[in-house]
Amino acid sequence: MIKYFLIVLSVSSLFSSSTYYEYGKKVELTPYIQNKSIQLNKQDRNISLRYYKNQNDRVVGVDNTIIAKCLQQNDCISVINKYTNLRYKIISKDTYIISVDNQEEVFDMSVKLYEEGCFKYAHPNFYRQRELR
Amino acid sequence: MRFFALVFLVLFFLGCSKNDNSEVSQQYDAYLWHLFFTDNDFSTSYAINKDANINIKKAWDITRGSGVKVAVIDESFEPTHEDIADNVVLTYNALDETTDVTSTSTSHGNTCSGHVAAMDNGVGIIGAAPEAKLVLIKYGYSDADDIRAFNKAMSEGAKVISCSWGTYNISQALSDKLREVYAAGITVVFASGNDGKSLDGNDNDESESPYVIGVGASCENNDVCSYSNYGVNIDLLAPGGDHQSSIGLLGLDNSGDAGKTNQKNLVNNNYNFDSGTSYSTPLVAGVVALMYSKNPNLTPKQARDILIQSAQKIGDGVDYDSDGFNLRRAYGKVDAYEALQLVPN
Repeated sequence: MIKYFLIVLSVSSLFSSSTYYEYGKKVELTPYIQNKSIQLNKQDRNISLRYYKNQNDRVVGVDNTIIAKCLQQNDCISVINKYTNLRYKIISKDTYIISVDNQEEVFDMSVKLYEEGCFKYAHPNFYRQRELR
Repeated sequence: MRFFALVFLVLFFLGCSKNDNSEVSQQYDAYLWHLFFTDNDFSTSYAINKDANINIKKAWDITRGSGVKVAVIDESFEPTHEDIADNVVLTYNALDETTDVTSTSTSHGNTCSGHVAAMDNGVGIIGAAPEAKLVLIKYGYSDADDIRAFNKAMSEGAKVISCSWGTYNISQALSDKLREVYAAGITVVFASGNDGKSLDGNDNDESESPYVIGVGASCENNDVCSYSNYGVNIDLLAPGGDHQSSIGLLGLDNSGDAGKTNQKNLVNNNYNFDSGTSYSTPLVAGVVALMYSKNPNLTPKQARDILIQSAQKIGDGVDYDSDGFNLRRAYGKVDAYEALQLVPN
């Protein structure tokens, strides 16, 4: 029994939190594949993603970035600057890509940022399976 | 006197025989059943219904899409393809933020962009809006890449954005961007998918967003294709064909040796027959471009309402509800001419 408990504990510890806010509600993802590299472009730019499944069994990849849309720009920048492990880049007037030093902290940091109250959304920058139709 | 009468008669008949739309005949006009019907061996062999097209010839008497930019967001493109090259005004890679959108892995983006705006140049095919201009955007992988793609389409002045892909799993970030694009007066069109299933269950697909026009496929028999996804949030059908049971739509392939697929011994390597809601979508995007060409101040809501109001109710003996909706067939198949008739000047 203890053996099984330890196995469950060790498997779950491979992943830290996988909860984030979507439309103001907490959403829990299930860890699926811990790490897998994908080639992003012709220049062999690789990136390591962790994969999760949502409630509908759809798989998403997560890197070390968060995408967030700001309600009040000045507030958002000061909030991001409160955290020493975050760096940001603005990709449109109110949308930020926020990098987290440690990939394992992406979900936790997206929850913290959302709960600060100045972001319309703040969730992991998902890599989604896309199909041509 | 007789000589002048003869000259007059010759000129008169020459004038009559000239195409009403003053377009150049395309190399493969005979196979473009999705745009206009041609009674020939091809249409007989593949049992093409004479009404399976989107009634575009009369629409081209009104406009051919001049003055409108259409962004196509897809996996990759060949911007130098002989049938779109002069209509391409910009390319953008949303992953690398470069201008390189090429790849040899698929011709999907070529096919889609050709159905929007293949040129009236005598070769190959013609798009639904042959005088519209194309902004070709290669997508990336992440939400951030998608946002960069839509940002570029907006900043380049596209009035229509055509997306022949989907995830069944739209994120809040992309959903919010689609709302922003809609609010900016830009019409976005998404393909519903080819799994023949209802999207009304757990799926959360891009084509179901209230800020886009969701498009399914109609077939050579002028009814919905069996593979076309459907649901209460899908708006319209347009020809997508079925290249397995019939012939599919003739579109752009990769050029030359890279394009040796599905020519059916009818066309050269630069073109192929293929099918799917992917190809219905750029046809609708092309029709929306015609509508914006007639009236640049049209809103996305007006564009959608007009397309729905003017759609052809297809399917023999099929009932549509009091709103004109049928679950498998949405509000019907797009009709370019009737849509333009409803666009205010």
